Amino acid sequence: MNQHIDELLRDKMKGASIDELMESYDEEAIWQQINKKNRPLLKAKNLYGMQYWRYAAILILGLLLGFYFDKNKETEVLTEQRISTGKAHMDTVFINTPMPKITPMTSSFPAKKTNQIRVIKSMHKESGDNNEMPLVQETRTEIRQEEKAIVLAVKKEIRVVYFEDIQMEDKALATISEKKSRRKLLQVNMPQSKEATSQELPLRSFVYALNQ
Amino acid sequence: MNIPLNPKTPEYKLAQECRAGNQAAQHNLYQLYAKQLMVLCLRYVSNEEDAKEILTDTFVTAFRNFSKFDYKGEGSVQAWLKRIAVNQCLMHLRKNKLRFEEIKDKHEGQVNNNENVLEQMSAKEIMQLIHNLPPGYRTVFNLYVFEEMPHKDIAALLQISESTSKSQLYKARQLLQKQLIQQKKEIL
Repeated sequence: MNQHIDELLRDKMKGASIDELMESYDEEAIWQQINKKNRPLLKAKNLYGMQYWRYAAILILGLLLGFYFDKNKETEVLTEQRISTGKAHMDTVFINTPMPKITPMTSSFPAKKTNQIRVIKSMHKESGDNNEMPLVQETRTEIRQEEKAIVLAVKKEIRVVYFEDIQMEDKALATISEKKSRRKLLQVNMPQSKEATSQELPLRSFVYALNQ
Repeated sequence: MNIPLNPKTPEYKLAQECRAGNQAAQHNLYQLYAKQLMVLCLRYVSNEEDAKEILTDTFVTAFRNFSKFDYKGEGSVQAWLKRIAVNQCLMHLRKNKLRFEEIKDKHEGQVNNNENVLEQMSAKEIMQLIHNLPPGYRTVFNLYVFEEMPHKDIAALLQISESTSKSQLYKARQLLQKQLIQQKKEIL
């Protein structure tokens, strides 16, 4: 009975036309839609098993990362400079190069780059030319200008601070994360005060010894 | 006994052209089977727009997977396209959370459908009767009656038990009978 009805239903539906069942059947519009969907998105050409566009994506990602980290480094350097100068007083001169202290008692300045001048001079003498070479003249003017600046600073009673001497250096540099972390590492490596021997790992002890 | 494939049949040639990516051949294939596949989609999905979308997806899937198609003789392209269309319909129904209620009462037996009424009905009216069934009943009914699939296959395809498939079909038949009786009353 059911089988007969099933067959009847199948026959009825087989003979059904789409126009009878649907009010709006636009065959061409559906074909356009199929074409649109069937269009290949990207030509999947491969190079060593990977598509070209993936290589391009990795390259762009690498460039962006490189740019990002490079930019960060630059800003870090700028921040370092800004911090060290920003903390200085108006009448303070910072000199990065370690130099002996200048006091009114010992007002002589050690001649800088004397060895260099001597070498150039001796070369000059050997060549038999009495006139000074331009490099010697340039070096001399540089040294004079530096000396003048320091003398001027001393005369004007401007405080000259050397990074090596002052504790402020610590404060200024403490804000820079990289150096801060390095300092922390050194502290970690130090043996505890009441310990007979360090409990640190051999490698850390070695690093500590090197830092010492 | 294997029937030798006749490479001269138009269907075989069409399949070969479609496999090669010939767009004109694909258009021919579409024109040949679009209407009957649309009727199939409409049996599963009552919404016309959804049916159009399923038909689109069916042909896109077919064109993209023609390399996997194995020609087995006359009518195999049509059967393959039908299978894809049914799968697309089921995928659509699953997306819309198709559910099958477990019915524990009697789920096998004859339902006294009124044949005379059915014979008098048009395809559109029959389609309307099918659309009035709940999606679960309708799906099993379509697979069993129109795709002529056994309950075992339906159960595997829909990931339900065989008894659930049988009960869904029985309930579908019962509902259809009710609707037919109502139709008969209206005619009289």
